[in-house]
Amino acid sequence: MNPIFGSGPSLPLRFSLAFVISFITITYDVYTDSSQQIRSYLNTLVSPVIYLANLPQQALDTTAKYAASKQSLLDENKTLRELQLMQNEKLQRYNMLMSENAKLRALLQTNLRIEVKKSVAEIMAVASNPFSQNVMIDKGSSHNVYESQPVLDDLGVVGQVVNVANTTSRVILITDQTHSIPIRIARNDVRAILSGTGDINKMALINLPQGTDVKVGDTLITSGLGEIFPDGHPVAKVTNIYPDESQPFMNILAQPIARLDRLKHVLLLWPNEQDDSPQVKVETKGDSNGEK
Amino acid sequence: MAKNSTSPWWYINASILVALILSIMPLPLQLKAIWPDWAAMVVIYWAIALPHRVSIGTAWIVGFLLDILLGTVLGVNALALSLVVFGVSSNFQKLRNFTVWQQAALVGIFLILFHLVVFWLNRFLLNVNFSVEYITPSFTSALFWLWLFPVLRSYRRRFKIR
Repeated sequence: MNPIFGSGPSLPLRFSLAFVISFITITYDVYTDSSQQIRSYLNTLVSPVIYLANLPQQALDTTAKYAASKQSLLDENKTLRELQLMQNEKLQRYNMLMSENAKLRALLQTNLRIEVKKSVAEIMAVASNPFSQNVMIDKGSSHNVYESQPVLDDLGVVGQVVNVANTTSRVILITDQTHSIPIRIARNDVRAILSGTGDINKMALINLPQGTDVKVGDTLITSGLGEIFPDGHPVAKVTNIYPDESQPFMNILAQPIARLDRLKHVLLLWPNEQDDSPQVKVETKGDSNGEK
Repeated sequence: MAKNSTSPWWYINASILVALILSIMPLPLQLKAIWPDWAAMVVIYWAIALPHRVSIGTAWIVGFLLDILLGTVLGVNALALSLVVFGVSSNFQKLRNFTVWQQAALVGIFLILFHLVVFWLNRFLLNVNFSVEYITPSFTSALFWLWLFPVLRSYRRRFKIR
């Protein structure tokens, strides 16, 4: 009933088999493109496990919501109202600037900037492995999420979608060791590449020749080159510049502007699709508030 | 009879599922560096306790599931976990006779091996740099083994999983 010696093939044979199969899957995953398709099927298959793993966090969130006192809710409501008022005021100016910009662009005969389609996704906060920094979001191919789609939070660029399953997708963060993003320095439009380092607070500005005009505190924004991220979104701030004239390139570190370590909601962008609904909504809201 | 031969897998798979859920639970960054390798530990336990059921095949499948769930290159965790369980399965009789403390130390060493294999493969495939955080979970795993081993043993005895 309970054999001391296992039946079936011997252990070394089983291990050799496991080794060969792993070797095949690794090669297949790294060196072919079609593995993305299979990965998305597999991700769909295991998504129940991900939802289960996310349950405790959701339960905690819900209890926290119910446990919040009336006073704290009122306070929060008040600050949010004030924030909305401030932002509406900014929006009024923004709309004015938008139309002005459109007119100027028409004079210069360049393309108009369109308001792109966006959608909010929730982080399913599934822990990722230390070798690649990524998060799962609760939107997938059924919500028209596509591979290499840009993802932002309220402050700056978060990353891009790497694989899409049916109702979930995986977003690689800009700080991942294998991720790089084309940027320009907001102050002087110097273009460069910003690479992740694997540390959630650090990114490296690579291949900038010595003597390039970079200062600590410079804001780095997306340059729109590479055609994945739209132009002009803040990415990182320069924190350290290590001067070493003997090196051909400068050694510069930057800190991401988006709060990558405490993401809860992110914004998915569809840079090639125009969106008309939110713009109108915001305007009417602002007007009605103004009249009151 | 048929029920007797299929039911152990239910219990084993349930424990592995719980371990997988624990492995991918959302955690603050500080905790992540010391979060034990639940899935690997549970597989190692079953490989020691029921070597005729859980062996390299199960380890490979669990590792592969980890690969999908964590978004690593498919096969990396599978290979590392198969290697570790290969070591455990070849020595399960010795491991059974050790005290829990000795087992914990050995499990820690096996898991260091696991993390190093995962790191080496990632180093080769993705060119990542080494950081001590990659192997710190092994030490907490060794500590948690002192708790997990009696828990899983009473689980096995209670449901007569053989």
